[in-house]
Amino acid sequence: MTDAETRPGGTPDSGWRRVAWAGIGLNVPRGWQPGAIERDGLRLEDRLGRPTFEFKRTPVRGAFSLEKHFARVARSFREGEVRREVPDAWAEALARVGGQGLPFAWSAKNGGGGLGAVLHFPDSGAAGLVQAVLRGEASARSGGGGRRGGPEGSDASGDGAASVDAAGPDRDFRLGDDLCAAGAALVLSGLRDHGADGRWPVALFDVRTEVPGSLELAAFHFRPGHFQLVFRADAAKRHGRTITELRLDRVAPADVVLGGGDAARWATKFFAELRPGVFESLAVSAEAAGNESGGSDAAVAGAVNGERHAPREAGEGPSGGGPAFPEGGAIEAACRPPRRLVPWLRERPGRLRVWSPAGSNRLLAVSTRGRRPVEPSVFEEVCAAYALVPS
Amino acid sequence: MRWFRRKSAPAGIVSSGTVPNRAESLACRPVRNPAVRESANPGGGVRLTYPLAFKPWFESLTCRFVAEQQPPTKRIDLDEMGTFCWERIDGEYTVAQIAEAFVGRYSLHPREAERAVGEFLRTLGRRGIVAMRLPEA
Repeated sequence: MTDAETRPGGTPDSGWRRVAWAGIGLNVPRGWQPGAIERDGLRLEDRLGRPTFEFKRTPVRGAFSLEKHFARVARSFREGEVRREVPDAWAEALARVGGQGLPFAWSAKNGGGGLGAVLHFPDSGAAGLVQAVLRGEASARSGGGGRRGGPEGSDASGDGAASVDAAGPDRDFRLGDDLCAAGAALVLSGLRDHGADGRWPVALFDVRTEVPGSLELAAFHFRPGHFQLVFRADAAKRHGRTITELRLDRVAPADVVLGGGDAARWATKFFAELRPGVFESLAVSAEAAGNESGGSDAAVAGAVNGERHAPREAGEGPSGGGPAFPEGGAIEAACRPPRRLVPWLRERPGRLRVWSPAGSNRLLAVSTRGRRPVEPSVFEEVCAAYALVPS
Repeated sequence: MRWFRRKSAPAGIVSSGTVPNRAESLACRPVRNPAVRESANPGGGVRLTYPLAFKPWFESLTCRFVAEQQPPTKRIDLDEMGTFCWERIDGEYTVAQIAEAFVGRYSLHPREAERAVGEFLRTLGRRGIVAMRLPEA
């Protein structure tokens, strides 16, 4: 995911940022934030906290009929109307998404309305649904099938449209508070399905990462101060045992969490269920330490400084020589799996790495465990891709 | 058929059914309960001592049987971040301003700071330690 800060057209622009979740990635205005996060979809809210854009993506088996799914969507709008006539901009944007799509417009009885599309990506075998909530004057026109550039000049006079149209390539692009059809089309045009890439991108709030497509999101939470993503291999679901588990954590604020104490001691307590052993300090490359936004090339070098920190018990005195994170440094430990008498339940030693990107006041951690923890090379790739983006 | 009917809120009082939107919530100004006592916590931070609020019928019952008329109190210890918020609850700072200060001090994501401050204030509000002053129309 190297296009983190690109406009839909590909030009770097600070007014946009990349959001990726559930196998879908898209560029959205910087002011938009996730409002509801589900395993298979995401709802984005505008700067005023109003729902404005939503997508869902789910794998499908066998044939998929856009028409049938559209009919199902239309039936779900009991108190409203769903039409197939959409603004040209929305239809053109949908054509750029890739895969197959069926656009529609909807309007509610209370005056609200929006645009939507049923999606199918044959390459990845996934289907999706996208909805944009239009507001104000633009909503009434666009939802009613008004066409961009038509005789009425429909989209040129609305507030939201004005903000979109005023954004030249050299300006700091920002969508207005009221999303219009042109703005929604601009967002839709940047939507991409990553199901066939073999990588699972995640870019929400201030973190982004990529994990192998063979792993599946099993659990997640974005609580204040602690974000966690847990990925497991497919086999774990079938056998009911943890074959491979990859866990990514983001903890903030680092200075409060660590309290100026020993990082290894904190990690031993925080990741107690992973049973981390002796920690070793790692050097971090300059890119990782100094460049927050260049996350894809941020890499933790494997060079071990030779400092080893045994975990301490909670009752022991102050840090006692165990250093906090060195500027841009990292600590890593092998995780001791719990002892099992039954051979097929035994896990192999896992790995845990914790680091604090320079100047971020946050801690990032990647850990793996299970009967077959991820390969070291994959672990390094995940660590390199796991980075902070400016909020 | 309903057996019980919820009382309607008196005029001028925001009923529980009216949920303020995000912008209104962020524009609220939290104010301290004057009955809350503040002291320094030996372990760092601030210790708040606040009176427990009971239902009126239970309070009258305890008044009959308990000689001591002092209302029972409870204590809550705030950590560093809680203390940071508490120091800004003065009736002047809005929730949004406290969240902004939080972002500035702890370098958190703005939405994360909003949620953290919101949850903290909600916790204090449930215990009757703070109240929210709605923004002037």
